[in-house]
Amino acid sequence: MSGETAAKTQLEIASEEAPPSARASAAGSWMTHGAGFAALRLLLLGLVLAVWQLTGDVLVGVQWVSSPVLVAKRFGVIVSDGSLADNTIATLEETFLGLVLGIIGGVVAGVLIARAPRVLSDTLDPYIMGVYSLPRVALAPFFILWFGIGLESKVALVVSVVAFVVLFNVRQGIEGVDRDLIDALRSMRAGRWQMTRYVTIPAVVPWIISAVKISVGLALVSAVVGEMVGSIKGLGWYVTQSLNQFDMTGGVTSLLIMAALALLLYAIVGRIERSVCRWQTVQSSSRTVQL
Amino acid sequence: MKTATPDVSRASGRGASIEVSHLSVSYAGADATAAGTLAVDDISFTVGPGEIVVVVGPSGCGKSTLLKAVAGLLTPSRGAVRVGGADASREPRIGFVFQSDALLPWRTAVQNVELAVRLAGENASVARERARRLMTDLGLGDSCDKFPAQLSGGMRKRVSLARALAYEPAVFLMDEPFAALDAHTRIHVGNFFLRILESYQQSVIFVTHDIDEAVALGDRILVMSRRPGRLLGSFDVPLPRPRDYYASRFSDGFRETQKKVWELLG
Repeated sequence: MSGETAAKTQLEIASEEAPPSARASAAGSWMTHGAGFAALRLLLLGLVLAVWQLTGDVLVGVQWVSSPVLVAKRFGVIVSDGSLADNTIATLEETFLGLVLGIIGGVVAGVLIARAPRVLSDTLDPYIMGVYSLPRVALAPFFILWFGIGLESKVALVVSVVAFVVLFNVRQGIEGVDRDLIDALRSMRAGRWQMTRYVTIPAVVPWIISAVKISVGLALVSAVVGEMVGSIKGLGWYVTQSLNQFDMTGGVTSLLIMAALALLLYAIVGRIERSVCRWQTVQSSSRTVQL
Repeated sequence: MKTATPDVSRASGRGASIEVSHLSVSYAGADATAAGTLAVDDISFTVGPGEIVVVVGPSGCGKSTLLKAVAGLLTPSRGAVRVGGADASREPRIGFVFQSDALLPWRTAVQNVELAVRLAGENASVARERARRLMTDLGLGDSCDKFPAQLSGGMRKRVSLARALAYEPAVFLMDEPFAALDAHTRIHVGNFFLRILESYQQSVIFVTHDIDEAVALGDRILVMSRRPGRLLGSFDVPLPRPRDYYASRFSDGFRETQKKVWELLG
C-alpha cells in the first residue's frame, strides 16, 4: 500500500529533522555545531534548487519537472487569489477532524478491548487484525460512494486509518503495564479509580502520544488520497487537477506545501510529547551513575 | 555510599502478628478444566509481633507466591492468612517491598513516597510533610525530585523502603529486595534495611534464596523445599541484636545456623 509506505518515509525524514528527545541533552553542543549544520543544509538546498532549475530549463523541460522559479511564481499566484488558503484549510480540516475522531475512537476501543474478558478479546482479535491488514486507503472509493465527495468521506477515511493505530497502542500500553506496579498499589489497597489515575493513565499516555505521532502523517496521507479519488477542493485535489491539465508546476507546488504541512504537524506533536512525558525524556537522556 | 543514621526515636511500636495456617496456592491451568500447578503446599507458621522471619528456599520454590498470598495479592486455594494487630479497629496495613523496586517511573522519588501516604488515607499536606521527612531520615534528601530512572539501584531500593515506611504498615513483606544489586551495594543496602527494621520493630517476612542473607537478617529462618513449596524446617538464629549485616557472618552462631540450613536444603 503506497499510502502508508509514503507516510512512514515522511515520518522518518521528519524525525531526523527534529529528534524528539536528544534536544535537552545536547543543548550545549547544539550552539556550537548549529551554525555549521545550518550552513550545510542551506548549501544542500541551493544545490538541489540549482540542479532542479537546470534539469527543468535545459535537460528534460519544465513540462516534466517544472522549476523552482515557476513554483515560486505559482506560489505567489495561489497566495494572492486565495486558492492556497482554501485548499490548505480543506485538507487540514479533514486531517484534523479525522485525527481527533480517530484518536477518541481508538482510545475508547483500545480501553474496552484491553479491559474486556479474555474470551471476548480473543474472539475479536482475528477480525480486528483482518480489518487492520486491509489497505484502508483502498476504502476511499467506498467512502466517497457512501458519504459523498465532501468533508465526510475524507474524515471517514482518516478515522479508519488512525483509529487502528491508536487502538493497538492503547491496548499494548494497558496490557503491558508492569505487574509489580499494579501489585505495589494493590498491596496498599488502592481502589479501582486510584489504580487508573496513578498507574494506567500515566502508563498509557506515552503510547497514545507515539500513536498520534505516527497518525499525524497517516492522517494527512489519507485525507490527500481521499481528495485524489473524489473531491472538489484540497491539496490532493489540486495535485490531480493540475496534472490532469498537464500543469506540472501546480502539482509540484502542491506537493511542497504538503511536505511543509507534514513537518509543521510533526513539530507540534513533538513539542506536546516533550512537555507531557518529561519523565521519559529524563529516562532516555540522562542516567546518572552513582551509588 | 553514605548511610544516614535513621531516627530511632520515631519507632512506631511493635507490629502485628501474622498467622498462616495450612496455606496452599495453585496457579490456574491453561484452561478452566486443567488442574492448576501447585506452588505452595500446606504451609503453616506464625510470626510474632516485631519478629523478623526469613523464608529461604531455592529459586522457584514458591516463596514469592507465599508472600503474595500473605499480602492478599493472590487468593489461596486452601488455608488462610490472618494478620492481626494490637489495634483491631482498622485492617492491618501491609508494606510490600518488591524485588523490582516497583516505583512508578512517572513520579519523582518523593512523589512515590507521598503516594503511599495518600493511599493510607492522609491528605496532601500530611503526605508532603511525611514524605520529605522520611526521605531526609533515610539520607535521600538530595534525591527527592529525581525520577527513579535517574537513581542507582541502591538508591531506588531505599526509596522503595521509604515508600513502605510511609504507608506506616503493621507488617513488612519483602520479596528478595536485594536480588538485583551487586555484592558491594547489597551489603550497604542490607545493613541499612537491617538497621531500619530493627529500629521500627515491626513484624517482617523476608524472602530470599541467599542463606547468608537469611541468617544475617532473621530472628528465625523457615526453609522451603523445591516446588511445590513445603516447609522443611525452622531455625532460631542465635545472634544478638542489633546486628551488622556483614560483620555478623564471622561469628560461630552464624556459621552453625548457615550449616544447618544448608544441610536441610542439600
